[in-house]
Amino acid sequence: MLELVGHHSGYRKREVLRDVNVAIESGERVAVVGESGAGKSTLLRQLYQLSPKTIALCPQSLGLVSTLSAFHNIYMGRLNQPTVFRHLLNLCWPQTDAWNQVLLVAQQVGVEDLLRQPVSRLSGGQQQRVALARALVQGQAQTVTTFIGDEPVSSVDQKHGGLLLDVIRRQFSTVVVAIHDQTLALNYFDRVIGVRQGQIEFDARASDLSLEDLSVVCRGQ
Amino acid sequence: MMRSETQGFVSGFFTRFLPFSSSIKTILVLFVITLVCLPYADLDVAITSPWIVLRRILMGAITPSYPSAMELLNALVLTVQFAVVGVMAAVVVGLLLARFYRWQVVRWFCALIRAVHELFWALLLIALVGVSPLAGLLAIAIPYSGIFAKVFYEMLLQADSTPGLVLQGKSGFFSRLIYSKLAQMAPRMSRYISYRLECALRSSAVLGFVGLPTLGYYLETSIKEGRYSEVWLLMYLLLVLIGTKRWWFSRRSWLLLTVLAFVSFPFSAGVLLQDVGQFISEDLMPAPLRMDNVTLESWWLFLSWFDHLWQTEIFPGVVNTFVLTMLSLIATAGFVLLMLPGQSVLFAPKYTWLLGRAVVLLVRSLPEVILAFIVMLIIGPSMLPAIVALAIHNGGVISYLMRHQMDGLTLRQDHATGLLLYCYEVMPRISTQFMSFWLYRWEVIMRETAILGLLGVPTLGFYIDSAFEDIRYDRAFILILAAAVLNIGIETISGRLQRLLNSTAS
Repeated sequence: MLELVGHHSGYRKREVLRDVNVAIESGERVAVVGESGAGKSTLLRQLYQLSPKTIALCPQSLGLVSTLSAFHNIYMGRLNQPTVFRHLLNLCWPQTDAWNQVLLVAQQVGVEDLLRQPVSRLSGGQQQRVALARALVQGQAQTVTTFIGDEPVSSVDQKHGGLLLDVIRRQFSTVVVAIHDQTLALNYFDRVIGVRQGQIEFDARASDLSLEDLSVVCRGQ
Repeated sequence: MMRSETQGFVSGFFTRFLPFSSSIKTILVLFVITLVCLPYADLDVAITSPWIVLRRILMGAITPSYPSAMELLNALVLTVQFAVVGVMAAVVVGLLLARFYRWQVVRWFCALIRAVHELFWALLLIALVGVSPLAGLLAIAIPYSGIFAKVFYEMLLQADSTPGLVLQGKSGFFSRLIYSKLAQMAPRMSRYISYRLECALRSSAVLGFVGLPTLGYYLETSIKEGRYSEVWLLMYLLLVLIGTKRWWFSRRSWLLLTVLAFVSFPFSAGVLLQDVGQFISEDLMPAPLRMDNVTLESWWLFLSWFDHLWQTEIFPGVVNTFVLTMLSLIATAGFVLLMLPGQSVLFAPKYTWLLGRAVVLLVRSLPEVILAFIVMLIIGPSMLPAIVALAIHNGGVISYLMRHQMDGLTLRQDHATGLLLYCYEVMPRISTQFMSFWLYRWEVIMRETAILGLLGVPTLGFYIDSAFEDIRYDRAFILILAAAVLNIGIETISGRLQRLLNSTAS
């Protein structure tokens, strides 16, 4: 379980989060909605810091290493396994078992043809899929059960976004995702948290909410 | 509101009465300091008929030859080995040091080891382990480690930290470092290592001047004996070595070459390991403090010993080093302004810029000491050859780096031409970059002035070399420390100035 009680965070005098209480049970699928700058990213970052060992993170800036190929970026999800020498070997000369494992995950998100390309040459949507694949590989470890993603499907259309969310839900028992597509938020998650100006505006079951309820925190969408 | 208005008023005052950018103000201040230095400089031209020597030198240029091909090959292999093994060892140590560079102690340590010139390291190490390949290798590896530590640390700071965050708690320490940080730094690192290898090839050649049989060793002998055909062949060899580096030290070949250089390196050859403890406690210890029980009286003796050293060697050495540095710095700037247009498509007429680039390649590839040696043959021994050599070499390096910027400028269709284009369009746009290269070269020039002491210019290097020749390691050690302190001082000032100018520019 991930829990923030009476949480404040921010830098200097500007508080990004004010008196936030959130508890996420294992097995829950939670969408976080709100305008940009409302504090979603900070909230997710704080949740991640509670237990980085058990969580696969997909940050908004993706955190890809642009000098490496898509294969290596996805492979980075496997660095928890021993040993450092194997990782060095795979860095210079990818081995068949590592390649096949990465290929399998790459197929799930549709980047299997791009594995040899440096990620700097990929489009925004392709890069996002690579970052997702990395998180999925991290999720293959027994210890990693939770996925936290900051707009992980923002660069793909609604249909493909839904497909990717399905892949995430299959891999991870607990999912926390910031998302701006309100339809996806209602259809693919059990619970929706609305954030406005650093505070929790609402926190309810997705089945009890309608698109109008969400528009309270997402003006102009 | 109040604050910004007063600021506007103050800066308005300055722009009206001192209508210069901070770059130009910096240059003016350094120029005035140099003018003050001028009376202390020995700028005599001693040789009355330079043309005879010049003709013989030029004759040598078109009739290069060398009697022993075997000797050449050995010198060439050793030069490359020193450079490659030295740089690669320094990369490993530098990375380790960069990891702990946050600690002030490590910073000071690195500043100290890189402030001492390779040649002085070589002299110290030769005293410690004998004239051996190992001494030459360490003489390059030690100061370069200090340089790499600083540069790699800055690269580590600039690397994106998000990949590391994603891996937090889910990877081992080394895997995380390699995949998230080093992989990001790799392209910049490899470019920097390649650049440093070029410097190391020059350093390695220059190590010949203190007795290690690299190219510089034979070069010095040939110059001293006036065999200019041999001098030129050796210089051509060095030029070709540096000019073709990108092919023999390429993405494909570097690993093989490094392994070969390491495996075939004669680590133990000629090593006469002295008792290190004795070397430090006896030889490096100031003479009056060498006895077993140091009394108050021996401290008094030490004080007068130091006072004597200060008055006869340290002080004059520091003054001469500083004077030579400042004159060379200003001359370097002048040389850059002259060289820059000659190698750009913007100014040089059809294809003559190729010639300009060839000249720049020539002067930046040859070590300053060798350039100074040749100029000295023509105009006689004084500070002048050293200034000319430093200005030509460093000016060549800066204008090479600036050329890319200059040719990358996008200009209006109706831009001015010639001098007006240079002064109004080009220079203002590349001046910030010029200032940072130039101020960085300040400390490089200071380091190099020291070794020009080997040619008889009485800088600190001259006194250090003499102390080693007299086997007075205690004096040499104190003088090396003085040179290091001077270097660190200039490095600090130049670093501050660079940051200041960068912050006002942006």
